Amino acid sequence: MKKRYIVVGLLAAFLSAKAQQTEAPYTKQSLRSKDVSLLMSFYTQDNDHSAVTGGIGTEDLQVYATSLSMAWIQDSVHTITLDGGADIISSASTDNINFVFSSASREDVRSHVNLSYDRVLKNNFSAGVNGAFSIESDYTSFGLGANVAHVSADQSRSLGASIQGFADDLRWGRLDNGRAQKLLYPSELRYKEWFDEHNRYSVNAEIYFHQTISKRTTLGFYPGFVFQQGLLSTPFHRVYFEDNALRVEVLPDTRIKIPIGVELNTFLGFKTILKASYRFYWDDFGISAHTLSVDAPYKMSRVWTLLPSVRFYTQSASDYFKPYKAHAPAEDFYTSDYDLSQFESVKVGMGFRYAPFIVKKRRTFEEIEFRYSVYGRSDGLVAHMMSLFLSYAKQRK
Amino acid sequence: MSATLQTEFRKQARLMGSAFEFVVVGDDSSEIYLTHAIDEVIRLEALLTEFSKTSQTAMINDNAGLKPVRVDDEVFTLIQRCKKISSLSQGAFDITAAPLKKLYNFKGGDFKFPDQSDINRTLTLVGTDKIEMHNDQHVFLKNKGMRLTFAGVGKGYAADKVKALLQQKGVESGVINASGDLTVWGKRADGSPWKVGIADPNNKSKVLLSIPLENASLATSGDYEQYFEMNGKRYSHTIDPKTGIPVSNVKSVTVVSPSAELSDALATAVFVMGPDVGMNFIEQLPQVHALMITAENKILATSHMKFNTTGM
Repeated sequence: MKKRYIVVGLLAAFLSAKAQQTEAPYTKQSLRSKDVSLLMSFYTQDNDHSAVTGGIGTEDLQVYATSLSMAWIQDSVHTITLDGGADIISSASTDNINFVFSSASREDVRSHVNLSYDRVLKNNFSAGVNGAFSIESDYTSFGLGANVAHVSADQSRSLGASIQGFADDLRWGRLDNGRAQKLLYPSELRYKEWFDEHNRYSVNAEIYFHQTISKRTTLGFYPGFVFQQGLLSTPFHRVYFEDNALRVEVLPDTRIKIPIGVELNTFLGFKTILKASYRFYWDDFGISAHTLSVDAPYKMSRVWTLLPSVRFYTQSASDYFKPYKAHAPAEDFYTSDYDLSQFESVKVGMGFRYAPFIVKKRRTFEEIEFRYSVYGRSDGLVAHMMSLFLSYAKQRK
Repeated sequence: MSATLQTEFRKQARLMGSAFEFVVVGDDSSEIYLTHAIDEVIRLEALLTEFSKTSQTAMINDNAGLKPVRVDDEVFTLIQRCKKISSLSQGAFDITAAPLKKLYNFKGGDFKFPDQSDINRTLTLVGTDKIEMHNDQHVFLKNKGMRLTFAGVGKGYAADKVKALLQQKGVESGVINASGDLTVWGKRADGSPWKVGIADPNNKSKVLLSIPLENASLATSGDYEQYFEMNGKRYSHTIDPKTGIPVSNVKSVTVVSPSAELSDALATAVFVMGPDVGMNFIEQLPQVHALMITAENKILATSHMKFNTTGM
């Protein structure tokens, strides 16, 4: 008897405590339709076209989310704020001229300038041109490119093409006394000029095709084409022959490369996104390669995301590759550069992203990302890579 | 519609403490209307601002607890509508809540949470039921110390008035943008719909969400930059008029409706009412849509907002 009353008493206390906790100043209420129509009648009486429409004539509002926010909306990976950031998108305001400068430092002899101009055109087209100049201790490079893109009216499909040209000069010495000097050969082979060509020209063309399959999934397809001409070997690479002769690496003076990529991005649910891509590569040096990579960011909490990734790669050897002292003297083209040999590699990585987006006055500490990966190649090369990325923003009013 | 060349004309001005931008679509003769739009906002600011000695709001406030004050018809009806929204939103939207904000002294450097006794005392000055509407357009604030402010609805009211003015002059499409509180009507010069873009807060040049709109007003409440932290909890600068405590469970609310004044008021109301009650409130209002980001970064939207994803 006593036990039952204690239990009832405890239950009553628990229930009343709960009631006190959840007592809020505002509760869900059914509004009287008379009140609603009286309120709304004032706000819709003035215009003929009083209906809010989403631009396609229905009662619904269509909200178009860009790719990143596909994950955000399902998953709230990031914080989105909608205040003060609303504006009318107009083609004039999305004209973009980017000017990027990076200058040489004393130790690191490299500098580059990039200039690009992009513009949004009518009928969902956009186009851009760019130019680049770069100087490094072993070469200077000029680049020019153009690109065009189109997005379908419902923004589910986009198509683009770009073409980029480069002219490189592989001679050394430019930064020492301001003039290009010579190609750099291995020290024991500098008794003669092995090449009279010191330029390299490349044209890269790429098409991309991107389609939204469903609310959670998008698919991309990226075929490309590269044509190169000029000095395509590396002047300071040595090649040893069967008869103990030593010469500088020689490769053909034209090369065609064809890469084709496919990428799938999908939201798996359980706070995980899957990014899988496959790329096929073929060139006329005899190399064909396959790359498969998978990333699966997993959102652990509001601010922490885990970033596992794995990449498999396999390539066949170039027709011109043979190892140390395996080349026959009569060959026209020869290299012992292991980047052109047959190998497989695996890269496994893990990282994390901490993205608190802490705002103090007008500064935002956005995110910090750390990644560590191990890379192993079948020819014995092993590498460890660590990267750290920090993002911070300051707002100008 | 005539076959004359349609162009978009724009003008910007600093008004009501915000950056306003006006756009009209029309031929060369339409450009002058932009100046009329600015003049109208200047007139309304002088009428409604609490920061001037001669505005009608100031006259009402100076006579709180003393005597009723006669105001223009448009001010009288505006206050009536604000009272209506207040009662429908269970008091979440309240134009008498200014004394509470004063308690918190957000602008001062040394911020301190006020005592509960101060809050309780100030709450007696808050409540739109304490605004008495008398005959012949007279308004009376019952208690001494009460203060009216139209800060939560003024920009929206001005946008609606300017739009009506421009439409009367024959402007069939245009935009009024008051620092992100947007009103649009008609279509762009090339016939495409106005698209409202919501920027990525981390990269203002990148658009996160885009919403094509025709004849709608969009308002957002909940300034992400104006907040303070205490005991690990984040509070906004918007005070709940019924409890006197700053709102802490919502990061921002965006409301789309046929009227800028309504969107403005409802955005504040829903921000205060919170995720469950606030969104349920909007669901019951026809032609009104809302999007909310909660403190846990959950995104809530009313049922007539359809999300589409684009390519990457």
